[in-house]
Amino acid sequence: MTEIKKLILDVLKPHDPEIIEFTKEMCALKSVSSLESSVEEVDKEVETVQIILYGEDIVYDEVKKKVKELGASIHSVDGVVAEGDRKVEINDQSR
Amino acid sequence: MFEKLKEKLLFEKSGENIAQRYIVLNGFDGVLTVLGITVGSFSTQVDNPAVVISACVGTAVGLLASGISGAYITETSQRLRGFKELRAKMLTDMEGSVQEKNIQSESLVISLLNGFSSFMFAMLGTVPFFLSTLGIIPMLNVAYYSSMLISGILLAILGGYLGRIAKESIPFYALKMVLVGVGTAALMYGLQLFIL
Repeated sequence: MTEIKKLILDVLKPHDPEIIEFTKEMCALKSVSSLESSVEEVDKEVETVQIILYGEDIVYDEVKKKVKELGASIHSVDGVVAEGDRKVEINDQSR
Repeated sequence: MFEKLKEKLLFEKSGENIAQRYIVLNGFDGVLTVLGITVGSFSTQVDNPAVVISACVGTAVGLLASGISGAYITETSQRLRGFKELRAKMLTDMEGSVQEKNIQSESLVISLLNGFSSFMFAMLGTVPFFLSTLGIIPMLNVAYYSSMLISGILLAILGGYLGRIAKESIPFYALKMVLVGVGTAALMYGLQLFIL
């Protein structure tokens, strides 16, 4: 089973809730263990925020639902780190 | 949710304190309205406290109803307009969002504050007349003076509170409010003399 460990999102959100409250609410999600957010661009009533979510198995639908509930919308998914079951043995022969 | 609402009403980002503004504004309305009735009744020598109570309570209930309904309709329409503008910027329907839910809950809290603040302040000025009907204040004139004194004290408290908010002289603001009350009473008394 593949698990999403990291997710980078570009989110458009209203000024209210503020970035701290927004981050706290997002971080309260079950599948999210920690979260980084930074304001990229500020407009009159809205702002673009990049959020980086970390977790053992991030549930994207849960994230999407919460973002919508907070009045924001996901512009794009800019990065994903996933981990599968298969263990890859790396034989580094260059040594 | 209540905590968030409280925080929002008390410390809005714009620096405005909605709850504070409504309580002071409507408290002022309530006090001056009852003061007007009291002075009017006093100058026409109404000798039945039940008549004064009836006039004051009727007015207080009117203030309560108009305060709740007026503020609710005004706040809802204002917030709805703001929400629609935000929705246009967000380019999404924002259905089920906290912003959409807040329109109703915030408007309701504000309208209740609006109505009950004027009602409570108006009723406080009526207390001496209730005491008069119960025989605790036997002389009606004493009830009249007590009611006017309560109104003066309430105005001073509201004024002092505004002075504290503005970080200015509390006694000066209290005095300003009391003078408005004195002016209202004098105007009412003068009008009664002119009319009757």
